[in-house]
Order: sequence, then C-alpha cells, then structure tokens
Amino acid sequence: MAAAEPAAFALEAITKRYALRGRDVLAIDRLSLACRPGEFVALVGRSGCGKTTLLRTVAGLEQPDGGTFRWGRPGGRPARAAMVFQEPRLMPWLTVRQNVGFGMMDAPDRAGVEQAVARLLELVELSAFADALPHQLSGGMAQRVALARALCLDPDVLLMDEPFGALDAFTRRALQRELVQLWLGAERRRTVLFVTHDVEEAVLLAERVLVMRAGRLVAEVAVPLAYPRRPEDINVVALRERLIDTITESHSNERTLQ
Amino acid sequence: MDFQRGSRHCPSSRGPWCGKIKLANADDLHSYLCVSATVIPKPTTRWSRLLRGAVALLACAPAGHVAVGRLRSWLSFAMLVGLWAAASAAGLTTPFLLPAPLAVLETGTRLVADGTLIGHLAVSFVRVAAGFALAVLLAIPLATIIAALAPARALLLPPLEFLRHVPPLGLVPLLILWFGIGEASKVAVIVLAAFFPLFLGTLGGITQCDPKLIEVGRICGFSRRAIIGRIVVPAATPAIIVGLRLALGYCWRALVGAELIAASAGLGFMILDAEMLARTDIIFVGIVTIGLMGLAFDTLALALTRRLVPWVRQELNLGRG
Ligand SMILES: Nc1ncnc2c1ncn2[C@@H]1O[C@H](COP(=O)(O)OP(=O)(O)O)[C@@H](O)[C@H]1O
Ligand SMILES: [Mg+2]
Repeated sequence: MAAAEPAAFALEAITKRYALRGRDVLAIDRLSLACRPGEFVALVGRSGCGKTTLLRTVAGLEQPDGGTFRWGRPGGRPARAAMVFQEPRLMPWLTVRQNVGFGMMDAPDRAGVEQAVARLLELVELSAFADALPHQLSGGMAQRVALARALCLDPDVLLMDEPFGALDAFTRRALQRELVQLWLGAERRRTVLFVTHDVEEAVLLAERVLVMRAGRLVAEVAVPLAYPRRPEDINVVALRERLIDTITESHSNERTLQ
Repeated sequence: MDFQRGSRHCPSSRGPWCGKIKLANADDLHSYLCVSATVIPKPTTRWSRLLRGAVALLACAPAGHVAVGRLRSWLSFAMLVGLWAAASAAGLTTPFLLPAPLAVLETGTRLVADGTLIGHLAVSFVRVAAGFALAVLLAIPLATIIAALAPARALLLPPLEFLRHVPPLGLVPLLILWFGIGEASKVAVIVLAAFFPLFLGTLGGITQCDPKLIEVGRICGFSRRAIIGRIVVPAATPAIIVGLRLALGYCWRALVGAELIAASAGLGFMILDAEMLARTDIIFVGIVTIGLMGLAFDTLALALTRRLVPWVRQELNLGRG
C-alpha cells in the first residue's frame, strides 16, 4: 500500500492486549491497515483471531495499547462511523421505527429524520412492522432493523461484525444482496469493513479480502469481479477456494503482510 | 396438619376437634382436610362434591386461560371464607376471638354507611400517597446519581446501607420527636419504608444494564448524560417497577404500624381503637380493608406495568401445563 494514497482510516502498528485470568492475551499484534474511501473490505479469519477487537478499535470502543489510529480526513474525525454488531442490540422498549431513528434523536431536522427512517424501513422491507416492538421480530428482521439504524446515521464508515452470522441461509443471502445494493446505491460513498468467518460471503461482498490470524493480517486477496456476484459463478468459486487454501496455508507459513 | 395422607381416619374423631363437632359438619371438615392433603375422597355429601370440583378446577384447569385463572384466584378466596364460615357456624370459634364472616360484613357495611371507614381509609390513603410520592422523588434520582457517579457512590452508599437495616417502625419514636405527633412523622415513616425497595430496585436495574446497549449509544455519539437518559434508565424500568410494587406494599405495612403507635385517625388507629373496645369485628373490617387496598394497589401497579413496559414478560412460561 502506498503511504501517500488517501485513506478513509488507517491503523499503524496497532496492538491490543487483554488480561484474561492473569494471562496476557495479545488480541491484536502490531497490525497495520488502511482502507480507501468507499472501499468494501472483508476481514476473515477463525474465531478468536481478533476480528471483533480490530473492528471495536476502529469504532472507538477499545483503546489500543500501542500504535496509532487515524481517520483519513484532515480534521481527524469522519462525519460518522456506524457499527452493526453480531447481535441486533435493539432497544427493547422502542418500536422498530424509533430504533431505526435512535442515533438521530438529536438531529434538529425532525421531519428529515422521519423521512429517512421511512425510506430505510422500506429499503429493509419492514415498513409493515414500523410500530412493532423488537420482541415481536424474528432474528433476521431484528438484524435488518439494526442495519437500518446504522445506515440512518448516514455513516462514512460502516463497520459490520459478522452481522449475518446468526441468520438462516435464505435471509442471509437476501441481506447480502441488500447490503451490496445499498453500498452501490450510495455511489460507493461509504467505506465498509465487514467481518465474517464465511469465506464465500467475503468473496460475494468485498473488493478486497483480508485474512487475519492470531492478531495479525497474514494475507490479502483482491476480488476484481463485477456486482452482483453469484455464489455458483466460476470466478467466485475459484476465489473462494483460493482463499480457503490461503487460510489453511497461512497456518504453516508464517509470512505476514505488513 | 399432621394426620396421615390418604388415611381414611376421620381426623375429627381425635385430636383437638374432638367432641365439638356434629357429625355432618365433621364429615364436611373431613372431606376438606383430606382434599387439602391432596387425597380426594369419594363424593358422599353435596359439600364434599363441591369442594372436590373446586379443587379439581384449582389444580387441573389449563393454566394461562385468563377467565379460568381469574376464577381460580377468586375460588381460593371463596374457599378460605367458606372454611371460616363453616368453622364459625360449627361453633369452633368464639365470636370474640374470631367473629363470623357475616358479622364482619355487617359491621363493615355499617362502618361504610356511617362514613367511619371511609374517613379512616382516606386519612391513611393520603399519608401513603404523600409518603410514596416523596420516596419516588427521592429514591429514583438518588439511585441514578449514585450508579452514575463513583464519588457519590463512595460517599452515600455506606450511610444508606446502614440506614437500610434499621426498621422504619423502630424509628417512630425518634420521628415523633423530630416531626411531632402530626402528619409529618407518619409520612416520614412511609418515606423510609418505601425508599429502600425503590432505591435498590433502581440501583440494581441501572447497574445491570446491558453494556452492549450502552455501546450502541456510544456508537451513536451520545453524551454520558444522554446514554443514561435514553438507554440506562429505560432499561432499568422493569427493575424500577418491581421496586415500586415492593415499596407500595412496604408503605402500607409501615403506615398501619405507625398508626398503631401514635395516631388519632387512619386504619391503624381504627384497629387499635377497636381493640380497646374489644370490638374484634371492627378489627377484622380493618384487616380486610388493608388487605383489599393492598391487592387493589398491586392490581393497579400490574396493569400499569403492562401498559408501560409491554416488552417485559409478566409470567414465567415453561411450556405445557
Ligand atoms: N473483553 C475481553 N477480555 C479479555 N479477552 C478478550 C476480550 N475480548 C476479546 N478477548 C480475547 O481477544 C482475542 C480476540 O477476540 P475477538 O476479537 O473477539 O476474536 P474474533 O472476533 O476474531 O472471534 C480472543 O483470544 C479473546 O479471548
Ligand atoms: Mg467476533
């Protein structure tokens, strides 16, 4: 990566440790990463390799123990970063509509927010459930609400932590398509960092797939395929297999990408 | 009751009941006692058949059916009163110690008609309302502040913990010294009684708030204050409501206690006054009124809960049954 290239955000030699029952766990180990504005990046790796921690560091939910993190804009902070968690994390006392608009409560333009919420509900096909409470939704519906809530913040950077991990195959496929549509529809304004342990999902969604292991980035694969992508597409299959090989290979091969 | 389960012995033929009971009543009692020991005897008399049906309804009716559930709770009351009436009619009790339900009802009607009961009830009610409202205004904000600010926690929690272990009624003499014999001391007792369930409920609800929801607030860029107001406190409402319900019960108890010690009006005073006059029936009217008011409050609180926190389950459902 050229250092001069403008980045949406950049991590330089980030380190994050946890104390786990007196033992020191190195969740992220001197990791460097830069994402271009508008880029869709997927992060894959086995569970426990530090994907969530990396995402939380970018989101500002964790303070790194070493290294520097910076937003690419000159001012230092982006207009907004939003995160979709592994679980929907909806406020159980708010309706679907209120949950979607939750982050925009302070916006002075009430009518504008209401409009945006209505549009997003249509986008995730939940207009009929606008006044339902979260406990009345299925897992897939709840996760769609969470996605709409994140998009309602109109983020420059969208951080997603295995957002479809707990969903059935059909819902997952539908949401993957929706997400790509949303990203393309916004003229690729949004930078997406998408964590998954599903290699196929990564190939279907991202322009660039990063492989993580033991707190480090160990490989990077570009996915130069047009959208929409289909899982049975020969190129998708080939890339998926190559990535799986890379991940297994990287076990014996300690070469890292820094 | 220490007779053997399933025994065909009539308990009335021995033990303390012996000699006082006519045969027909003894039979009734026998069937009730046996029923209550889960052994359902052959339906011999109309009474026992009735009881058998009642118990069957209580025990076996499908749970969750609202009408049946309501009927069931009324039935359990009716059975208690029925037993009371039966015991009185059988001459098992002295009217001075345990007046018959009808006598209590008569006295109650008279006390309602001449305004005595309503007057005492109103006095007690106003005291509870004032004390409860004050306690809510004190406890919920204080618990929120203590939960949110570590210095406030360090400063205020130890003395509050100390005070919590002093029963409010034990403070009545002191409160009378401080606030006089009038309304203020009674209200103070109620505030003390209601404060801790409210305070601990709120504190517990707030500290138990799911950190995952708080992170959503942080991602949204909310300030600490906004996170507390928009996430932490709403998330604590179920716990706060449990505190409110507990506090209502405690209020009511403490009030009657306080009125028993020093008052010239109120339900507690009415009971104490009746004791002086050896009017057990009035005492019972007082007791029943207190119980009914408590039930009414709790029913109201439950209805409010359903309205205010529809996302919280009211009943544990383990499936089946
Ligand atoms: N809050 C925490 N306390 C202690 N250890 C943690 C904590 N969060 C993560 N870890 C550890 O950091 C490592 C990386 O975790 P995580 O980022 O959640 O992995 P992934 O998302 O890839 O499954 C794991 O070994 C995990 O046990
Ligand atoms: Mg994870």
